[in-house]
Amino acid sequence: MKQEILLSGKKYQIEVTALDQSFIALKFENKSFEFRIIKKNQYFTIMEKEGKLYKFFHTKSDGGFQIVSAGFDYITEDGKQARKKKSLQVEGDIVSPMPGKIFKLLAKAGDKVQTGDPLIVLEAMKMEHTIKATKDGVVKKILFTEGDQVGGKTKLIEFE
Amino acid sequence: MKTKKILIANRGEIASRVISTCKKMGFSTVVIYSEEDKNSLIIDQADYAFSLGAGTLAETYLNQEKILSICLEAKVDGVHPGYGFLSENTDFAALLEKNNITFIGPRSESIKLMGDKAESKKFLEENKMPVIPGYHGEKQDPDFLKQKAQEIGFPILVKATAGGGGKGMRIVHQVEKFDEELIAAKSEAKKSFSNDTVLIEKYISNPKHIEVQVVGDGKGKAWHFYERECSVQRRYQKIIEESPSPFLTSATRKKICETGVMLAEKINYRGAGTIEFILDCDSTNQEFYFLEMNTRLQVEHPITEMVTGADLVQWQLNVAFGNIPKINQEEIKQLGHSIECRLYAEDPDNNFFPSVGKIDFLSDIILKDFRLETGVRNGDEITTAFDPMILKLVVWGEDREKCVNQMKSALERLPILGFKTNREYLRKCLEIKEFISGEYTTNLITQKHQEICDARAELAEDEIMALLACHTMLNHDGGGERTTPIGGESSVSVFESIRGLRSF
Repeated sequence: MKQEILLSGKKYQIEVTALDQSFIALKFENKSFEFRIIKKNQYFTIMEKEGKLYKFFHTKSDGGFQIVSAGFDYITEDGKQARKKKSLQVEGDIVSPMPGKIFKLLAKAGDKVQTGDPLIVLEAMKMEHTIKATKDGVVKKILFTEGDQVGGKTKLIEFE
Repeated sequence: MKTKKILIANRGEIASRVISTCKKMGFSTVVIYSEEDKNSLIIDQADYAFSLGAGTLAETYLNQEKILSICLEAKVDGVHPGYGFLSENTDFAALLEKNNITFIGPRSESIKLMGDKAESKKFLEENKMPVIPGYHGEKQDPDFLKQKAQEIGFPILVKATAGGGGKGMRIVHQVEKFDEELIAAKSEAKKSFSNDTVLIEKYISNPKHIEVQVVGDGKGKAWHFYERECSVQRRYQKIIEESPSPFLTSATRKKICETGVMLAEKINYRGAGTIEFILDCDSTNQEFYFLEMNTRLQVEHPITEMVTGADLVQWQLNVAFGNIPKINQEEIKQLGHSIECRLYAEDPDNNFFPSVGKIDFLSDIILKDFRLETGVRNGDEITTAFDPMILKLVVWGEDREKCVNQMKSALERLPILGFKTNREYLRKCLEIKEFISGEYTTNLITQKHQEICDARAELAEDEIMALLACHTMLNHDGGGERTTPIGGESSVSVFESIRGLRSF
């Protein structure tokens, strides 16, 4: 079974060659990796490979998981799902980079804008962030109004 | 002292912190909370809780009239404002005094004097205390300000007099850029503080941020609790603090602490306060200048408590109710080393933008000489409505090296699930050469940010594969969907793992 996984945005192609309750093997760039699953529950997994232990805390996140260990904190995503999500977006469409409140709208439908023009000021945790146009074009639709609360990675403006 | 009833006009970790000392002293506690905080930890910890209803900050935690009416209804003796919110609001302090409720903080006149950066510097200059060369006057004509800037010599700093947290602040390296930056600073100042008055001062290229903790009895006597070094800052926000400063010579330490006491005594300061200094690392004699005085308890006060054994909230309460401790300065000792790390709900992989979500898992680690200060517990929702700081880790060690190692270990044992944090970023900061040597300045993060990020991203191939294997396994198991929240009844709340103050 071939698989594509994004690790905090970075793509990895792997092939899963074996998988059951106590064992998982995968191939990456022609190298084999075999892990014994020693313990797992809803939020904690311990795996072992050649005497080395891998301890992970995890929870479900959008399209994948948040996997945390002593030294790192990663968001994994299924490559296929991530692609599907991306294909729904048109180049230039404005997506919120963080959750927050629409503090100010600086553009309206029909406006002709240039790359770098400020479009929206987003406010979160007492910080303001200005979202700028990433291409020249005409604003087709603004999906929120001032004062609205928006999530992260939410489409805010559509372009023509 | 007679038992008192204290209202805490704050939320989160600081409210929780104040409650624990009140309990220790046998005082009863009242908390206030907005709709978003209706399930918060402090409501369980306090004896009484009153709702502020829903609404903006101005309608809730900053709503003086509403808070006063709760104070009167609950018949409280005093109000502890925590930090932020109304802690340095002269009107609020005065409003309480008028209603015979003790404001657990300085007199409103001290807040007023120190809250105005220009006024406070003038006061220091008049009293022959060290201030950075600059212009702190009222004349705001752009050409006049430019002329003053040239007299001081570039680089200079343009700063909102009412400012804080880096807002309304600009560094100008050459005269050609002055007009542009002045306009930007003024507009930011206007927006953030509805006051666009700015001051101009000499910009120090390699500064350390050193602050002195003081407590005044309001009658002309003050004690110092030594210094804190707060030079690890990202975008003007402190992220790691330590005490003592690894850089100060004992002569400088003595001088800087005495300067702090001198100022506090000169203004008959009452309660806990912090005098912030900027130390010029390029100077031959560790020259330092007054930056500002914060007339409240600081976020980083626990490190001072760890090295001195004092409970600063207890000092605040005692002094506020006129129970002046009979302690000599010589009895306050600085012992060992303490570090604090501030954990923020932010995503280092996405520009450090706020990260929100429900805390799915928060470890309840217990370590020796360790404090975990937080107002959140498993299942709490972190939203964008409040400050992103969700918890503080405070450790103590016999010496700096032991303390740093202890902090690394604490960070490693604190996985947080549900949103991203700066946890590993902090961990990597502790490993930077300049941090280890102790010779870092406030430029540390600006200069080493990329190095820290790169170190974060460094992961051995087998670890990456283990991660991918874990993802695959979870996916196969149907996504690890949970039917019940983690822990349930058997879980230990984070608060229960908070260790008491060290005492010697």
